[in-house]
Amino acid sequence: MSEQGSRLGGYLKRKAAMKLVGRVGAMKLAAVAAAGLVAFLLFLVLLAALAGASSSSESQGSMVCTTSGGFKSPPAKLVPIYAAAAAKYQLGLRGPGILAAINYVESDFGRSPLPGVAPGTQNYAGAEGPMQFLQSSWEAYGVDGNGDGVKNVYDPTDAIFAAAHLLHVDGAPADWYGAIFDYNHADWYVREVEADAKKFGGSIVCRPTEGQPIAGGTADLQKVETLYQPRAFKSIPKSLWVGGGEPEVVDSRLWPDAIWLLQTFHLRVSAARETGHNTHGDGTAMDMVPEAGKGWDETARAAAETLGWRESCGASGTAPVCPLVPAIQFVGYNGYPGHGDPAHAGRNAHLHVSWQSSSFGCGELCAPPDWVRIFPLSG
Amino acid sequence: MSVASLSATRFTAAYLRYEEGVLGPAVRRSIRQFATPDFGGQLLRAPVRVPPGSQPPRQWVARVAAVRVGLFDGNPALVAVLVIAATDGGHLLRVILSEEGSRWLVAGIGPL
Repeated sequence: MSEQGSRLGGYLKRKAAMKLVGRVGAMKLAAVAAAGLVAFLLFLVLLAALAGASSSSESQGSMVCTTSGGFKSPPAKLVPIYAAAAAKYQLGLRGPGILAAINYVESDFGRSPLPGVAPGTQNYAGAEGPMQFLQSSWEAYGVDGNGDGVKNVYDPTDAIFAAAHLLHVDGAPADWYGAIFDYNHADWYVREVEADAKKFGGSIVCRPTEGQPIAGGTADLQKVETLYQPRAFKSIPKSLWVGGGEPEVVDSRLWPDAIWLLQTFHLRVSAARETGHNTHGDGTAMDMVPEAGKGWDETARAAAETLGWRESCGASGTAPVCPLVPAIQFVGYNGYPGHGDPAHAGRNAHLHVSWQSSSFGCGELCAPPDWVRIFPLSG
Repeated sequence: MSVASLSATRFTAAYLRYEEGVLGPAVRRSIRQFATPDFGGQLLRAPVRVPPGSQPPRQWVARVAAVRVGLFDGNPALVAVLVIAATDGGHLLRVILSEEGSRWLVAGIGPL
């Protein structure tokens, strides 16, 4: 990773940006936004064609995001620059959106009137240009993006290409978080850039925000306890149930784990102990979906990965192919037939989690198993 | 595990102040104490830039949600999942700890 200290000064934006937007008439703004969106979509499609190495899921994500309207679009003239810079530095389909978001966060696409953006000005941190480079980092990563023989930190093309260069050096696209974090060492900055990038068309993993109060203890996922008693069932609370009818039950020994999982990752139960549902008859399995308003990546996928599931082992969902935590028997998500997010599993999308028990595989209603393995909670 | 949780909590409490642009002696001391030299040095050499006219959310550690074994740069590490409460909502933060001598120190952070 590069020396982040030699990078960027203050970033200049929201209030100035809002003032600028306020001066533009509604029709003009709509026209600019529409033109920008069309141009951006065209270049993303072009980039998708060029980026053969990108995964299909990444490609799908980009397309989904770009079709969500109602956002402030980057200036049309900059869109080809983001696309070209991302292509040159192999940033993948998320690259243009991330570059646009950084450009927006740093300088409102170079339109901010604050010091440091316009040629010949510097801000308090000594940062310059639309991507806010410090002189030392510009010397290290500056690029002649427009081919005029000069590396100009105030030129949008040069600056955007330099930012793409820097992100590539810092690990993008394999590690977007790390690369953006190196741009500015704040988690909130990364989340803001990623959120803006999503609006601008990138397939950005959603940030987990605006959560309800999260209750429960700390899970020690690496530990496992085998419980023989009580052999009983306990109902899922109504507030956490989204299946039909009355809430179903789970084995009471794993009930605390289940509640921890649901509350920590903003999930709701769509199926628990029920008949005619493979592995669900003994109360050691749950199907879950995101609570209303939450995305799949920030809830179901985050929970699956925390339990040891990986995309690469999704077709199995069991140990040792998946490095599952010891108390968990099976995680059914993307890659496992009929399970996963809507892009993979359609209308019946869900995350399935089974705890280890003596009776895994009970398809019809059966008694509580002799033993159940759980991960302990404390606090 | 509890030692690692404590390191994660103490580091993150200081880091959340650092994220607001506060880099006083107490924050510096905590970052040096609870982060690996590499990661702590990286943070201290390049303080967060808070945008003019903007204010980062006020944040604090609500609790440690989970601690589990994972990998960091290919080596065994502990991963703590912290619940961060904030004036603009809240989120989960992954804190990676590596064993340095007899201590668990924060080697990186990231999203869940």
